[in-house]
Amino acid sequence: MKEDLSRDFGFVLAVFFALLVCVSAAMTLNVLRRRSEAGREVLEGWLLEVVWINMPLFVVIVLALGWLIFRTELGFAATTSSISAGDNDRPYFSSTAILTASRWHDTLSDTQTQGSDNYHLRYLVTGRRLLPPNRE
Amino acid sequence: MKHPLLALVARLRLSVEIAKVPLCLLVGISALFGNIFAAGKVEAGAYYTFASVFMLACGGASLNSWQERFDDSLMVRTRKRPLVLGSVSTAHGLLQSALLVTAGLAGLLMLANSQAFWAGLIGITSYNVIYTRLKAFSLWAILPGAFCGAIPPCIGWLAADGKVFSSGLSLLMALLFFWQIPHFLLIILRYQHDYASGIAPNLLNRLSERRLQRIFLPWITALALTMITFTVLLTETGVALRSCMVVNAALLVAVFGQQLLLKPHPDYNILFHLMNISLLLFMIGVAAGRLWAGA
Repeated sequence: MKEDLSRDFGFVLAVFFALLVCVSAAMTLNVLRRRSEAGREVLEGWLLEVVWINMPLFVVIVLALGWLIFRTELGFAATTSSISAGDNDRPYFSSTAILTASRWHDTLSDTQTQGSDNYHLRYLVTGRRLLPPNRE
Repeated sequence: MKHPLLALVARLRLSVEIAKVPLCLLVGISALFGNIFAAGKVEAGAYYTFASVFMLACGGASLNSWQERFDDSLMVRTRKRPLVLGSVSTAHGLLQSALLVTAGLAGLLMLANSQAFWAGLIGITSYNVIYTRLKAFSLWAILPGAFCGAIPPCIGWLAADGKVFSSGLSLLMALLFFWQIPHFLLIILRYQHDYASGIAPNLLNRLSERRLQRIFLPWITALALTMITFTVLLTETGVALRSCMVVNAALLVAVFGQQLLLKPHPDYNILFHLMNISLLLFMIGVAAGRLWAGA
């Protein structure tokens, strides 16, 4: 399982999230239609039902946030330390490297990136080993 | 007088019953699944992990049988268990659980690694201390219960030196967690007469059967989507196998939707077995895909 899959994984996670929102929203709306019934017990039952219906959504949000935070933090820490050590010879294009490429691109001048406007895109598509633009 | 060998076999059978061996075998298999998912091959370590987790689960189940012997006597489903009937002494149950838990944890520490050991310790503690105690007075106990169920594949993953903070481990936990909740709910609905009597707080005491049925759909959808998300990580697995996994997930949602939304009286037995078979098939598919890629 290569790390460059994390982009696809993120995308699927987003679709996953969207579908789950739809299902949870549909079920919640279904419960809402019946809220006119009176009584505290009914309200408690209603709240309980809404919470349990939406709980998978909460779990996915927590998982996604956790994944994003740890992914970014660990990835960024690993990349910056390897760059500062002069080691950028990565065997494959990872999400970490994409993040780094993006940061490089932002900091490089137009002259340095001349002829490689679609620098990120080309590397994303070709999956070639990451090298700074001026070493291409 | 009974032959000593027959007496020993009878005693062993009771021990097996206290330890809930069939269930613990599934727990061991889920650990093996986590191990193969991480390593992509089956080595001796995978079998050691399976055996250790199996023993640990048997120990936890034995302790659970001992802890719940009074509540078990109040339910039709559990009132014929050996510790309830007194066919096995409480000392036997307690000693059996202590031995099995120790053997399981020692196996993880010596034959796997310290990460697997700590995961095992967290699993057994959350099951026998948090979940078992909490379920006597809170219907929210189902959540730590589901967390316990998600730990065995993580032990397998960690034993294969898988990273703690990784999408693979998160997915493994999510898969088992999303499976556990509908599994618990189906047990409640299958044994409604026991649970409706209010021996322990549960959702059936607070919600009608119809409302409980509606809760299923988001959970089953989440489970199916988790299964589909797995197929993204398995790039080295053939498209046919990955398609089968997607179909398996889609069928799960379709059958649950059809039974719970369209039928006035759903067959909970069918749903229960369908969910178990679906998860088992999925795990076999993922493991086969990983082994195929590694071959």
